[in-house]
Amino acid sequence: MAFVGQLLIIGIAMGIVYGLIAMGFVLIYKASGVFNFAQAQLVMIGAWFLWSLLEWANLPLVIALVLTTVLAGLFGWVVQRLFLTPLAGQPLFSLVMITIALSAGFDGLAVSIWGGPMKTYPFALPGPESLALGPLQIGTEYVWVVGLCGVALAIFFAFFKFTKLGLGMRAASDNQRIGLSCGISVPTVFSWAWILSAVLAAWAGIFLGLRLGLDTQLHIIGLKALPVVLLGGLESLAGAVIGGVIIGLAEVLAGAYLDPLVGGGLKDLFPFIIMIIILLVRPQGLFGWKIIERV
Amino acid sequence: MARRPPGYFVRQYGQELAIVNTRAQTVLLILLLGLLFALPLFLSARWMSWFIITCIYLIAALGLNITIGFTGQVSIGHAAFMGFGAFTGAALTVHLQWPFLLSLLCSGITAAVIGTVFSFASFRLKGFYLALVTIAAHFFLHFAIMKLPQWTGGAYGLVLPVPSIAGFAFDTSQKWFYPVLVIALITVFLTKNLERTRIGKAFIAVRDNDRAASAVGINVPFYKMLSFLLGAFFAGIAGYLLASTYKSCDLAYFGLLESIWLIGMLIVGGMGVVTGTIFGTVLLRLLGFVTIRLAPSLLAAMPFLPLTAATGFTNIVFALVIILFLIFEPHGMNHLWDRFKNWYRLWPFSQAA
Repeated sequence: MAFVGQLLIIGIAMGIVYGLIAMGFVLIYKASGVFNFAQAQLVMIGAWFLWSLLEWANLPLVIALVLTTVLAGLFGWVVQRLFLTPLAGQPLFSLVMITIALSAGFDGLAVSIWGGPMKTYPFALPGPESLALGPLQIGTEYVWVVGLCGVALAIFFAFFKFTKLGLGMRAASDNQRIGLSCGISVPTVFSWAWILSAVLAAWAGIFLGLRLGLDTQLHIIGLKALPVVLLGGLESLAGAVIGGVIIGLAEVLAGAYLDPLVGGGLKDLFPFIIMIIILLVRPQGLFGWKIIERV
Repeated sequence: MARRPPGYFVRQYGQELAIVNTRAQTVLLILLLGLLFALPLFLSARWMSWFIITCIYLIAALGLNITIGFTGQVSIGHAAFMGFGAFTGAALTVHLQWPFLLSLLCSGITAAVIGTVFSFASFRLKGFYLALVTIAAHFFLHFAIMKLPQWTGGAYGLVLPVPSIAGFAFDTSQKWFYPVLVIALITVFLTKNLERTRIGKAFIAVRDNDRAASAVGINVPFYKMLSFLLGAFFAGIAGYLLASTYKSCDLAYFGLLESIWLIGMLIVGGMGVVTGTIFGTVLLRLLGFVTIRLAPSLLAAMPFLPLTAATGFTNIVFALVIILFLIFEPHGMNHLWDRFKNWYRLWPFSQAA
């Protein structure tokens, strides 16, 4: 019983990390209609930023964290300005292809700068290694992730509901022309979508790096966020987190119960099987908008 | 854009469909073929292997052109189809000692079947949703290879023998050059011909507007499935040829990055046009070759970078080239070439085309 409980905890926690990555996808899609294939690479680069600041610049932890957030946001802004704005009027295929090309390019960038053997962060989270909840052990970083995600969700909820910029983003994502005529600066909306997305990705990457170590293969985990995005629905931030939890649980349970049947390996494939089923049965996901164009 | 030179008028439908129009074009084509077949005489070994691998990637890219360029079905899983074909052919060659040509055919057929399975998603999905499903093909390939190590060698892959047809062994790259070139030329001709057949025109109709195509009476799901089937068939053939060239079959040759390179070749060259695919493949392969040659000097200039930066540079340059083309010339090199042809044909009266 405790074994299942342990599995569930791990599943939920990993799922929330996926949810953080998926929120980045959803933000950009909501604001500009672009599906950012390079999100997984933003996760990886965010994680490596922090490592570089700690290892190469020897900054204290808090300053490094703040600087990573700023740098990640800046990176997202630069990418959006440099590569996506020139393609403003082009068909969606070109925009998607640019993000695909960017994903390959960022892979190359990461390998060029930080390639080599796996590294680890030179710090550990404060507090005990893991907390005890009855008979179950929860790793401390999971608690931090859940806490961070809760904070992020609350901030975004307030942001999209009460601030001018947030409302502007929702309006622009609904209909750009009307948003423009209401005085919302669409380029600003796009920039902020990418900045916030990159920051979310960086934080997700930091947690992944803490949990799994830093590698130039970190983006493969980001790829697993694709099923999460589709399950939750491309337009729903909360859906991204819920979808993340579901996929995280499904992955862990598949690993525990289905893998022994098939001899291993199904754990990584299972989220994609779910994704294909979702795409064929209910393409808008759990909470997405039902738009005819999808089929 | 003029495909035929000025002063040449067609009077019959057959003439309109013809690939080679004037006597000058025929002569040039024969000269080009002669040059290609004579290449082993004056190419160095390094360029020979570059050329062989380029021909193989050309076959795969032409297959992808059928799926994306002709029919508009976005597929980022093409390298996975190559992998399925390659491992099938390799397993047949290594474990069952099947002859080369039969294994080649079977790799094409297997990949075609896998492609057909993934085509079912295209009946319901479009655009990047379809792209996401095709990305999953890579994970399926990885799973399948790991699950059948007695056939596929698992993580280590397979080691292939020297390819041979009817006892004649292609052990040097000069000898191996010819079968690869012949298969590549046949593929170029087949895909160029496909454009003007009924099937090809159905593909293009599905790409341009699938609802209108269905209203005109084209069986859209069938043609979508056929485009995946044909595309994957050529991918399987290319995959097996690649494995035969490297004398080994390994999962690393068929990853997501290779799929992205293939799409890049289509974009850079010009989507949907066979000559565009040739341009794109040659250009990107040249790029890869040049960056790999330059990598040591770059690493020497920036010694603080890790050694893996060599492969990293190639990908960065590749991404930059694709992005530049998408921003400045989304129709690819083929369009640039057409504009140049128009310019010199009308010179000195050439306006901006």
